[in-house]
Amino acid sequence: MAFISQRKICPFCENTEIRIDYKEYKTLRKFLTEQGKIIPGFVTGVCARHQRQITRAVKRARNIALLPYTPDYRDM
Amino acid sequence: MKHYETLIIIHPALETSHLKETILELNGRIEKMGGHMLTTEIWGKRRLAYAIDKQKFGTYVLLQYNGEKVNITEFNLEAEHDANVLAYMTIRIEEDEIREQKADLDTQIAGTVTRDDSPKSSAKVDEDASPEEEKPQDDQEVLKSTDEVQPEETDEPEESEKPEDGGEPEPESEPEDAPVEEPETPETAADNPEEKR
Repeated sequence: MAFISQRKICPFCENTEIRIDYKEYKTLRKFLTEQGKIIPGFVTGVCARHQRQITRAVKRARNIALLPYTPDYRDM
Repeated sequence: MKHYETLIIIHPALETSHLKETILELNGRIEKMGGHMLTTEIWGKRRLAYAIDKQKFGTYVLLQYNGEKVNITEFNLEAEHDANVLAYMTIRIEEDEIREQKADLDTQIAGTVTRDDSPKSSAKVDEDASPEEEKPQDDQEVLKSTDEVQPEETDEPEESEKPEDGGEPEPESEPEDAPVEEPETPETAADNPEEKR
């Protein structure tokens, strides 16, 4: 009866070859909402260490205009 | 030996010869500050995530260099006051992250070289799945789950076939056949729950 949530495995711990880099904005976009906010780790299943790396990379990418700070309302 | 990389956004109005001059000038400044240039990568003109100095586009240039005593603060200060540079960011990196220079500046500017934004390992991840590709798959899965339920209702395709047989004459015939058709629909609606049961 109790709801058992399946524990997600951190994709970066599973595949150690993948590097978290601010230049790889296409992979970083997967960890952002439609509004451009960073998704928390307990939702994506990323471990704490890699979540810190993701936030650091996202903030660097935002600084150099590879990722937005705010959502783009041009399509709306 | 410390390794650095600087990602610079150059004004989009600069093209070909002017772009090459500015890049060579930046390389010269790095060497003046005590650095040794390793790679120069031109990503080309890209749309910016937000406007910088009222510019929506910019030319991205990646510079990787190393040195023991590199005066980065002075380099950043000169980039700050340079009119051709919209934005810059200098980061210290490890030796593993240094990329190989695939082509000369001329060929890169010409645009004949295909650039790799990400290393090979992460490129596989990008090719396998992207957020834009995942969304329609999720929608298709939702549609498939609903399609599995729909075949149980057999009356709907029959109703859809009726308008397909004669679209134009139907509106003319409808007012005549309306009193005949109306009792049919409540019967079919009543039959549906019985059939489902």
